[in-house]
Amino acid sequence: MEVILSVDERTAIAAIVGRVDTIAANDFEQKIEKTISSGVKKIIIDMEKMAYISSAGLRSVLILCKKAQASDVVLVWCCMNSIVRKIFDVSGFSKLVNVVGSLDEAKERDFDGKTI
Amino acid sequence: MFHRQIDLGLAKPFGFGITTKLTLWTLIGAGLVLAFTLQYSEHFSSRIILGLVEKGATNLVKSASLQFDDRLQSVVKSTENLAYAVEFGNWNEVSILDLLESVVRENKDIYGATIAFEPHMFNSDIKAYAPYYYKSPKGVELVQLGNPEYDYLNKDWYVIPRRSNKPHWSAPYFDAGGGNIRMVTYSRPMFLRKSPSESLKIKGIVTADLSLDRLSLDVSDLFNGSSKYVFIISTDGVFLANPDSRLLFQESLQELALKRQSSVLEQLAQLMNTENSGFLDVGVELSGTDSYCAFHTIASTGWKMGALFAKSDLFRASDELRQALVIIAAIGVLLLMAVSYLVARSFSKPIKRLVHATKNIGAGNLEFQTLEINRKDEIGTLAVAFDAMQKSLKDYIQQLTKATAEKERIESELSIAASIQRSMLPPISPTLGERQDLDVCALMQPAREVGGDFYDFFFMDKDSVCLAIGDVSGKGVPAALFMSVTKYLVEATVSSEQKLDVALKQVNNLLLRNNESYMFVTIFLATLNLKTGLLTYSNCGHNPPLIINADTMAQPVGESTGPILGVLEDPKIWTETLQLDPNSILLTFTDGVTEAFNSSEDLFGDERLVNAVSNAKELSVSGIVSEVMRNLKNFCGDSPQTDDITMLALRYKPKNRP
Repeated sequence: MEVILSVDERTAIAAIVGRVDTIAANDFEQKIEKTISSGVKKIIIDMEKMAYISSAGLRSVLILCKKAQASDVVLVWCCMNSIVRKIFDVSGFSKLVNVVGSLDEAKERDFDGKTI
Repeated sequence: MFHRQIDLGLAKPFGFGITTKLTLWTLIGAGLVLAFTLQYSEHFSSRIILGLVEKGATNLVKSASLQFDDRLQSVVKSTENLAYAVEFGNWNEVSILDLLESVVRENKDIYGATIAFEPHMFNSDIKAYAPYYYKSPKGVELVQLGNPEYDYLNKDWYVIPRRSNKPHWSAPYFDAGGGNIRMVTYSRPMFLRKSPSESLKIKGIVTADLSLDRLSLDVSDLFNGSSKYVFIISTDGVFLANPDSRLLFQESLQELALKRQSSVLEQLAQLMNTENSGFLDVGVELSGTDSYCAFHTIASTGWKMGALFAKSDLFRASDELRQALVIIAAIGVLLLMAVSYLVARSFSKPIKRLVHATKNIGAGNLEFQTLEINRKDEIGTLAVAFDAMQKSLKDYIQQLTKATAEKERIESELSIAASIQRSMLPPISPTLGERQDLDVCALMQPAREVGGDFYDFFFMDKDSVCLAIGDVSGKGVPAALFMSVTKYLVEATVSSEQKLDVALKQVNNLLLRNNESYMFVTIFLATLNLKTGLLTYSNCGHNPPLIINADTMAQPVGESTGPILGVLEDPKIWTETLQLDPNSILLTFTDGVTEAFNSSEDLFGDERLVNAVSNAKELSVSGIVSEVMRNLKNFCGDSPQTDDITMLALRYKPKNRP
């Protein structure tokens, strides 16, 4: 798994490439967590190239959401493929976190910050 | 445990050791070089030596033939002087006998001599007068040759010079009645004259005889032993001198060659007939020892003097030199061998110690003492490295032993934990006693020793069963701990008096308490009324189970799911119902099934699962579960299992069909 970061003043875009499975989950969590504490206000997780997310990965999503909330950072999850979308749907994560279809929407929209 | 005896195959080194090999190769190498050098020098020196030998032998023969010629000349001179004396002097019988006797006595080379007169020439009364003095064993003796038996007037030595008026060397002959030995004779005519210029009228013949036996001895002496076989042949090729006295004047060299059928002798005869001097390899012919023959002409007579030189004598010096060289070379090679043996041993000795040490370490004896090979070369470096290796191996083994013990402890604990986890869940094929209206089969295969999946199945009362399947985020020990908590919370809260969503909310709230590690769990929880076939269920973030009817493909149960448990304060959970047809099958599973990967990183997916289940719907529930597993294994191949796999299948088969 790889995390490709592009950061401007207020928004960071983290493109995830590959599988976020049990082994990669920790790495994924640490990298995004670093971005949370870097001072940006919004982090868009671009999941277009994320092939799969395991339940350990979902737990990382959960932890990241909690941390983002504590740091007053908005996390937006966008561009999921069908497999990942299904995992998010089935597990109910789609309803827990900010999920949008496109990167533009993720950039433009204001999120009031869902609470978990 | 590390002190095993390992046969490293080092006990007996294969083939020869370094010492033997190096020594042998030194021997072979140096031996070859020396043999080649010796052979090379032999090849070139033999030609040079042969040239020198030829020159030396030819010179020897030439010098001997000159000396011999001098002696012949002195015989000729004596005879001539005698002839002059008789020609010009007045001699009576007494004085002429004195003169003749003194010539024979004084001249050591002359065996005998005669003054033979023409008939009636010495004394008109005596027809034939020829006094002959010769050296008999008793002393110088006189014989009168003018007797009828001898008849000197018809002898060759008389007739030939008389006819030609010239001095003559006779062919060799046996002088029967005269000297009675084998001889050659020099004959010189005497003339009737007062001065040398007067016209010639034969007065008689003066002769001097040379003993052939004596000649043979004399010519041998000329060589001072450098040749053991000296011979002289006449112009006709007849032997005048030869150490083998049987050959004397009997036959010529040519005849001897024919008789012995020897091409070498024939060649020699030819050469000696045509050439003044020469040199030839005659092999073992003539003398019986391998020899060269050198010959030279005796100028005054045209005779040829030949001498054989044994090759063993000629080449003695070079043979001795060669022997000395071989001995020196052999000693050199031996010394070289000794040196290489010592050098090789100085290498192989520490190597042997290293081998011994390696065997010890190989057998696990890490307490083996250090080598202490104090050398400044590569072997020394190896020994130091070896000691260092021994030390780090020792440290490593200690760490490994510790780590292994630790690992074994954890493994044993995990294995106990796994067995506890299995015992917490109902058996995979629960015995349902008298009940014929229900078949149940479960399967749980954790990705590690323990897993985060669970399933449950129990009767709430006579007519209703509860079934649950859940999946905790992650896997391994943390998931297993969370799973066991969840499993008991579900079992404790679910009852026939309480709605499923309410029970699940209670579970959620209990899990949420102190959930600092943000673990969560997905659950599909259902109750089935066996009388009515009504399935009541709640799904909290879990994969929708499949329902399989006789006529249709497998279908997912429920449109959407509620949220996962353990995360939200007040989750929105609801309950739905589904009427089961008789003989329909409910298959619940965890995402370990649908999210199993193959080596191309494709997911097994819902579609494959639906197909596998639909194809197997005629089978028993355990058959369906096995069939799904078989499909899954075929799909995944060698790819490792990444998530816990759990299935719980139920077939509803009421006795009385509604």
